[in-house]
Parts: sequence; structure tokens; C-alpha cells
Amino acid sequence: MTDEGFGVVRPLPGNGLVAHVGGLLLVCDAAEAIVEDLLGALRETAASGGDGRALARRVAQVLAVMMGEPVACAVAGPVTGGVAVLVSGPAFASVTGSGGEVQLAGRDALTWSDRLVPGPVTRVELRLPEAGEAHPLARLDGGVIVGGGVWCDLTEGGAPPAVQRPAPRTETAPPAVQPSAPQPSAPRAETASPAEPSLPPASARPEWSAPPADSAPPAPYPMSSPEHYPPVPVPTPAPEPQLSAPPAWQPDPMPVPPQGPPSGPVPQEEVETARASGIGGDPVDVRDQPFEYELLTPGGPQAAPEPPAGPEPQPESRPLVYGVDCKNDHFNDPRVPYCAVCGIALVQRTLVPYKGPRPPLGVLLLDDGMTLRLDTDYLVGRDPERAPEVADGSVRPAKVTSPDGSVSRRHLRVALDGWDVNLVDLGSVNGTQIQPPGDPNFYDIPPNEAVAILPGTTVRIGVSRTMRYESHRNR
Amino acid sequence: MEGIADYEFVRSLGAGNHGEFYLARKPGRLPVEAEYVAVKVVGGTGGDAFRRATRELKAFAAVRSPYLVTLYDAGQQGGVFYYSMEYLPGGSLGRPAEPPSRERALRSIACVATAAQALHEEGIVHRDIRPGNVLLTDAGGKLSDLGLSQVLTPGATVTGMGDIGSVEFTDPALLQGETPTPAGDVWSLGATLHWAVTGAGLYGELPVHDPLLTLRKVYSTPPSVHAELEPELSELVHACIGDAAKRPTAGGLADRLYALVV
Repeated sequence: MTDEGFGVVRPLPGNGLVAHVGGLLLVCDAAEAIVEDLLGALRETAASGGDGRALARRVAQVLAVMMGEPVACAVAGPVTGGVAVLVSGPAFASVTGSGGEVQLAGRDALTWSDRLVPGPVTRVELRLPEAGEAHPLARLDGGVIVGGGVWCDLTEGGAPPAVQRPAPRTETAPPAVQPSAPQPSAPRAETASPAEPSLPPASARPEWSAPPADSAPPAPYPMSSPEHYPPVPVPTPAPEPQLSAPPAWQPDPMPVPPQGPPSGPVPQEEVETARASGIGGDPVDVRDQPFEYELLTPGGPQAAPEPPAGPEPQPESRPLVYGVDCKNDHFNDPRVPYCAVCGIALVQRTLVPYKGPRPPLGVLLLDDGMTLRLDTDYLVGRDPERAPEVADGSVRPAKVTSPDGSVSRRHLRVALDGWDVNLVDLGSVNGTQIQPPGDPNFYDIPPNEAVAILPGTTVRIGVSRTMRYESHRNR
Repeated sequence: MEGIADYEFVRSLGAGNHGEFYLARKPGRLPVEAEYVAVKVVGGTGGDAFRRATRELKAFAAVRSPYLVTLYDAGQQGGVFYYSMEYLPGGSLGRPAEPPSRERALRSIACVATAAQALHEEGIVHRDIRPGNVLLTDAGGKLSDLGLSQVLTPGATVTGMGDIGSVEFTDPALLQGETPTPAGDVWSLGATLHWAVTGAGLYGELPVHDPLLTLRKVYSTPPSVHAELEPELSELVHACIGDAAKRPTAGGLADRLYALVV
């Protein structure tokens, strides 16, 4: 690592701490114990030959422990094809890569922001709030000093303009699954505008080295689009004014069995909505409607014409994702330090990710006790059943209603992407809010944009319904 | 609710997971000898869910076991799904007409384990074995009410309607999102056995008024067997809720329970 990196590294004056070790950069200002942990993360990563991703992952682990307390910290390190950067708290980072300048501010994120900026990278700047300007002759070729930031010009001093990492030991490890890589969401344009809802979220995963030039920037893991997160709690929005607010998406009428007596049949949809909402118990009389039935008892006239159905076939095979096996052959997210099943430590560097069927990522617990297995995408709303992507089987419906009518017909999509659980608010009337683990506040998520959530996140759907993402994975 | 399809309801028999049971008069079209039947009414479902549920119920009905409740028909009216089955006046272990003796309770669970074995041999997992689904009969017991939650709400491991208390009888692996397996049913049988004999769940008191809290407690608390349970039963319950690969089969559990009550 020492013979490559950031070209000339110039420290900026300030009162924090600046470290340049093994080609990796750290800028931080916090309590001594945390600084120690952060420096430890930097040194460990450098000592093990880790790259920017490994650094970001280790630092994220340190920050995760401090969740809820903003730690001013920024790190950067080279990766194949670019630079990985992570910022938290009041720190700020700016990286100029092939797609122009990328700015990241930690205070805009709920936890931290990270990003993989595709190369060739020409400039990296990490700053604490009070940082001054760099002296043109100051250099920090290595070591830890007091300072307010760093400024690196990669075109200066003979350093290669494009940060080149040694070839990975194996060619089977693709960049997309490198530990702690920011997970790009599907390009925004595709991400569920209400009129165009069926998106395969994992289908359009840009390679880091070749991002689509004019698409929106990829959402960083764990949280996306800092500008959409107000750092203050948002007020509870008013409920949807009326249940019958015209939806953006008009469902096709349900195929109704042949009409019997025409004495005022209750519209199917209202029956379903009312029943599912539990409004007034069973106020709807369906008995003047025709019914259909099938005999199950063998004594009947239509005694078992078809062979007994076997076990329900698995409706869809599990998608393949890159992961690593622990010593006991449990398939794991390559980013996690411990096996999600048996808790054994995963020695990341010695494990080669391979493609395997993805285990369930956990469950969504709704406030009424409904528990949904996260093995595929869900469409959450008060009338999800007839949405096209549900009808074609690519997404499961999750019917969630509320007496105040604040849940939209198609409110929210829960989209699994690799090992991550993303939320996409589908332009719902009352919006979707998330409360990250350890944070007392709820934050609005932007519509039509994938937002990754961590286990322990509480999600408010509309005004009065909530659910939690629970998982023993991705901790 | 006064009835559905051509069933006239006599009274409610209480809520089950994902629906409500009613006592009803048997319509003339049903080719069975009974005056009364039990009808379960499930909330509004789409046409697909109705067809999936009917298919599952047919598979269940096709399994031959004297210890499985007999299903009569399944249907829908105005989008409301129902199915009917034999009415057993003895009630369930969870809500018995009269409190069963300890021996009767053990025998009913042995019968239900036998029924579960029959289902498993046909590749069917019940998914919802708990005291409320162990129906008491003179001969012992019958297993009722296949867990249709996954069918009616695909992907659901627990459904919000009805009884949150059933999570304490559900294999935690299933709650965590793993696929239902026969071993999961054996876990439920063990929990049901524990409850029937000790009167306590494996997680102690649950805040059943708050589903989220209940689930969090179930997630965070390892199940523990009552210290005063006699050694034979304690060992049996431990085996049922232990390592999935080493659990007894449902049939094996039945044999050991029969041996205890004879």
C-alpha cells in the first residue's frame, strides 16, 4: 500500500487528528477513546493490506457502536477502480473522479455516508469543520499529526492518476460484492414512479468502474441521498383527507362471479378494505352475493378427480448473491464480521465470495403482529393485490391498512438488493418515515428512491402504522 | 355475522389465527352425517389466495389419518373466504369445554403428533400446531386448522389477525424467516406439550396486548423449559425444541407420549 495512494498528501491546519498510514487516510475529532478506536481501525486495515473498502467497513463498525452520537470523522482509501470514502458527523469529503466532483457531508446522513467514487481520481479532500487552508509546501507522507483535514492531489508528485490496486488474488470476486461497498440502488428513473412500478431492483447494478454517466449518483450504504434527510425530527403529516382519494393507479375491477340477485351488491373492494381494516367488525353483508365452493370431503360427488397436491412448490427459487461460507458452511453476507447463524468469526481476507442462493434476510414485523419473511420483495399498501408487479408474481403483496386511511393503496416497496433491504416510497400521500436503530427520531424518506435500512429500523407507513426490520444478519 | 354461503351460523366459536370460527347448521348439499359443522371465515382475500388456500386444504383433506379433523368444503362469497369442517364439541386444549385431565391432555397431543406425522409423510407441514388447534375427542384428539397464513398472505410467518399468542408455539427459526419444515411442527408440538402440562409457555408471560413487544420478547428470549416439569417430559420437550437436526419425528414423539399414558 505504501507505494501507491494519494500522491502528495497535504495536511490542513486544525485541532483534530490527521492520519496517513499505509496509503489510507483518516481525519477525525472526537473523544480520545473513539479516536483511538478509529486509529486502530486505520492501522489494522493498513497492516492487513486492506483497501478503502476494508477501511470503511472497519470504521463503520467503530461508528456503529457510537450510533446516535455524531463523531466527526472522514476516511478515504483506494480501491480497484476508484476511491472509497466515508464521512460521519460534521466532517466533509470531496472527491474528484471521472464523473466530476462528489461531495459527502456526514451531518446529512443518519449514520454515516459512504461512497465509492469511480476513478481515475484526481483529487481527495477530507475536512473537519474548522479546517484551515493547506500550506503549499506542507506534506504528510505518513504518520499521525494534529490537523483539521487533508488535501491530496493525485496528479502531483508522480503518483499514478488512477489508483491501481494489485490484482485481486482471485478473479472470481467481483467488485459488486466487496465488503462494505456502497450498494447502488437501481437507477432512480426506474425506481418506481407510481406509473411504472415494476422494477427489478437488482437488475441494473452499475459496475463501479463504469457508472452510467448521467444517472443519479448511487445511493451509498447504509443511507442514501443526504439532502433528503432533515437532521431534525419531522412533524407527523396530516392523514390522508379521505379514504377515497383518487389513487394514481387505478386497479382493474376484480373478476366477479356471475351476478346473482341484483339487490345492491357491495363493491368487492370495499368489502375487502373494510374487513381487512377491521372497521366495525363484520359490518358488510355478503350474503346476497353468489358464492362458490369446492367439496373437500371424499364422500362428495366430485370426489378427488385430481391427484392430491403435494407440498406447495417453492414459488420462486432464491436469487443468487455473492457471499462467503463460515467454517460451518453457513452462507453469509461478505461484509459481516461474524456468521449470522453460528456467530463464528469470518476471516474476511481468506474467504473468496461465491454465488449462492440468498437465505432470508430476516423479517418485517408489523405492529399488528404480522411477520413477513424477507426472501423476496414486497409491495406494502392498502390495496397491493392487483398491482401489475404483484400480478406477475415478481413482488408479494403485503396488505396494510389503517382506520385513518393514511396508508396509500400502493405505499411502499420493500426491495431486496443483494444482502440489503431497501425501502422505496411509491409516492404515497402521507409518506414513509424511518427511525434508525438507536435514534429517537423519525426521518422522512424521499419518494421513489431506494433507501437501505439496517436491522432494528422502525418504519412508519403513513401516520399510524409501523413495522420493524428484524434480522440476525447484517448486524 | 349471521352466515356465509348457505351456512346459517348458530354462534361464534372464537377467533383463530387469521379468521374466526362459527358453529353452523349443515347445509343439505353437504354429503356428511352431522347436524352441525364448524365454519372458519377468513377475511377478504383475492381470487388467487382463494385458489391457493383451496388447493392447500384439498391436500390436507386428502391425507388419511383418524387424528386429522375432517374438512367438508371451501368456498368464497363476495370475496370472503371460508372453509368448513367437522364440529367437535369437546373444544380444544386451548379452550376446552371442560378442563382435560393430564392423561387426556397427553393423549390428545400424542394423537395430534400422529396426525402431524401423517401430514409430514405426504410432504405437508402444518405450520400452526398449538393448543387451540388440538381438538379434544373421546378417543384423544384431532389436529385442526392447517396454518394457511402463508397461503393467504404469501411470505407471512405470522399473521396479524387473531391470536398473537400463537407465536410462542412457533419455531423461532420460522419466525426468523426460515422455511417451514416438519421439524418446525415438532417444535410446536413440544411447546404445546409444555404448555399443556405446566400451564406456562416457553417464554414465560408474554405481553400479548402488544404484538410487537410480544414478538420482540420471543426474538430476544431463548425458550426455557419449566424447572418443575418431570424429567421424562422435560427431556422430551427439550428434544423437540433443540437442534432441528436432532429433533424426534412427530411419529417418534407420539410413540413416546403413548408410552407415558398407557
